[in-house]
Amino acid sequence: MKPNRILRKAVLAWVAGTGGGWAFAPPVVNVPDPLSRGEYEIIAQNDLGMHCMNEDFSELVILPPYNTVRAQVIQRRREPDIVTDGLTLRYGFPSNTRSADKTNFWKYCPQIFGVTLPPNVGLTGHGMTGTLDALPREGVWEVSGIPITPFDDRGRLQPYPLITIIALKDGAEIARTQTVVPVSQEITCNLCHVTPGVSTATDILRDHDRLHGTTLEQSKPVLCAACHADPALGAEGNPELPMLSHAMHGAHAARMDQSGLDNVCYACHPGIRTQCQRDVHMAGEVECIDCHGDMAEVARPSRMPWLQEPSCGSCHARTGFEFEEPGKLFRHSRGHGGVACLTCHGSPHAITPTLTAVDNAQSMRVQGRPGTINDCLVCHTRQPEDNFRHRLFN
Amino acid sequence: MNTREKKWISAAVAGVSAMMTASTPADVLYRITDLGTLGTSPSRAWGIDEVGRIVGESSVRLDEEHLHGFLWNGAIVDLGAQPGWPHSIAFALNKAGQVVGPSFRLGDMNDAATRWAEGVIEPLGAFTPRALNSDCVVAGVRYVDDGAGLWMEQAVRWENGALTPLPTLGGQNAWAAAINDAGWVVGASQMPDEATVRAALWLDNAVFDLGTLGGDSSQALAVNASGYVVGWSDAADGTQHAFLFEVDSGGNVTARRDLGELGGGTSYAFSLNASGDVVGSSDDAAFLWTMGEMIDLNTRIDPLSGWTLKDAVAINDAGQIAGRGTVEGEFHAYLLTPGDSVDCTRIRKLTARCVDGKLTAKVVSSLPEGTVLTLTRNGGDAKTLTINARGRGKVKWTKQSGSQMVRVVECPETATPVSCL
Repeated sequence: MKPNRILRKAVLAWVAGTGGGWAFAPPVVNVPDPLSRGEYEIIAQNDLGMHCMNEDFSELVILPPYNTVRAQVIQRRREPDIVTDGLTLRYGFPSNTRSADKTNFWKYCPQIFGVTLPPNVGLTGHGMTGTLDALPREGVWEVSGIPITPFDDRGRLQPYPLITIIALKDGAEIARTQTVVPVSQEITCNLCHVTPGVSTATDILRDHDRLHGTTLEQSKPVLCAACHADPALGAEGNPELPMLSHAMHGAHAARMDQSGLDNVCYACHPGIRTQCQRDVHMAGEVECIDCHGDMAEVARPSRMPWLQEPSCGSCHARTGFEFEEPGKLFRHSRGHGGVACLTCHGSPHAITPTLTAVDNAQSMRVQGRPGTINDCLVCHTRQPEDNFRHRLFN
Repeated sequence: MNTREKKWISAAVAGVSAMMTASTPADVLYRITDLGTLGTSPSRAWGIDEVGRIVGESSVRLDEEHLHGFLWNGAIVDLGAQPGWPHSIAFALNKAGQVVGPSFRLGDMNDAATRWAEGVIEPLGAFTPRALNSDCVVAGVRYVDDGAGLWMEQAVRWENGALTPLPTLGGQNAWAAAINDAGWVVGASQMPDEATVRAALWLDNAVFDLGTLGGDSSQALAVNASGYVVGWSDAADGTQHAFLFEVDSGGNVTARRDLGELGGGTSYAFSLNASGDVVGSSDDAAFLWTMGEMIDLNTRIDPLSGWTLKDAVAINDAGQIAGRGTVEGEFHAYLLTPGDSVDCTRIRKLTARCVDGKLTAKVVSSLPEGTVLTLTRNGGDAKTLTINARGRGKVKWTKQSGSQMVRVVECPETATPVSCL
């Protein structure tokens, strides 16, 4: 049996045995002593569950290195406060301090994005170390555009690097956490785009030139979003052309049988090796298309890519619960008095408990077990006597 | 100590700038060998030994997840992974042919340290091996829980089954990248502020801060037998440059050299040999630093080869270089061998004979002195020979049996059968 299947069975058994909801009583290990918990707790998550970036930027570019992390600082009280001022939140990657020798993004950035960036600094000006910005209206701290790559400083493939975030008050540490900042270069166009003697990127550009009368092969490096609008990059593109997501999914929908993959999404999205979808849903054999729809659905022109995504409420229903806030995605939504959905449940595609041990590490730290952070004493100094409120406001 | 190493050290003792005196001629040309893949791109090299054997990693098949370590010895061989682990990387090998690296599963905290030797896969413990020396002392890193549920990186040294944690420079995290035959371990450690990281040297488990080129952070990535250390460092002007430091046995840095760059504001040194020739990457290109000059290795190979050399990660004392480049649009591991392309018409004779299991192959040629040829038997077990002033060279394999085919890798048409009965 593949290790992944063993893990999947273990997670399933764990969820099934405990009811998988708030009332469950999962096996508890190493529960932090409530008396030893500090005045502050910090919990952070990546906003996507997996960021994909190109391996090579010299010919064709879909996505740059660009990872975003959101954190919440809780001041532990009987009724906790969410803190967004008076602190400094510092971040770094002990195992992954540099990127400039792991990708040629910086060499081609001026041609592709029209900006010359210092080495190891991403498109938003953030680097591999730095501080998070407070977003008081959302009750979170955020750092966007971290230019991390899926290789640690030793050269080992590492799509799940751990970021360390330290909260400082008046220069003194008050809390710290670690969470996964997932990144992959698995865009496996070479499953199909293979012409001996030329690169996969050139093969794609030639196909595009042949089918659409363009001259992209002579225009390398080509940013796809320069013509095909892409909300992921904030690129408006040419309004007369389909958006990038529509064009890609629409053009390939009928061809994916050639890939020979069980999950055809992993032909382009990370990936066969990386397994972006690695969470409790995957353990329950919920596949990508069960939430996102098939490729024809994703290519539907009226769908706004990246901004219209599946919602929890599409499948989950529970009396008295709200899921995403109206008009907001999971990754931006809050509940329970302002706690971000991400904070308790984990990143999209890495909703805990996950198949990957490292994604469970933060839950393990704060409550001694993987899964949704639902130990009230993580944030409250006394067990609340009233019923748990999942919704944002009473 | 070989002649070149003596020359290097003599120069240092004489007060001459030792770092100006490397041995590889700056105008050297190289032959390139595609090491191929274990089934599909990408492959990349990580280490090379003195006879040109190379270790690295390669994808196994495009439609499955596996990444495996390989050993190239005239042909690429899949080393596999420990049972139950899907992936592996072969990071380093020593003179005895022992190979180390991790078997691993993406998303797990710790790797399964693995040693490959004579066809046997041996587990060494829960850590990531990054280097080993001739005595099979291994340097690497592991993750440990700090007791509060947070994970720290701990530099480790493995010897005869014992794993010893190495101290940090005051921060929480450290890792080891390389070890020489004297047991010097180099790598990187966080400083107490946890915001900066420094090139670190461990001597008998005591840690030394090797400093920087004037900026805040640095990392050491390789060390040779003479105590020369390479890596990268922040410089005062904001660039991130490859460095070559000379370190004495007390852990003191006695000379620092910024190796410059090819462009882009960065360069990173990954390896050096006994002569002090340094290889690395800069501006998306492989470089060789020799005789005080940083050379783009792309300018030293046949421009019609179709190769673009992206990085150079290992160099041996014969000047052979291993790294990663692109060819026909794919990322492949490569081997560079000093010397222009071989004129195969100048090989007059290849002979082989086998006596008592000792297989000896001889080349008679009019090739220039110093030309390096690679010979294989039955498609693997490669050995290099250097043509002497009389145009001759020979290699030996011991403990051979059965039918053998000896071939010159650079001139595949040049081959001869021999029987070891």
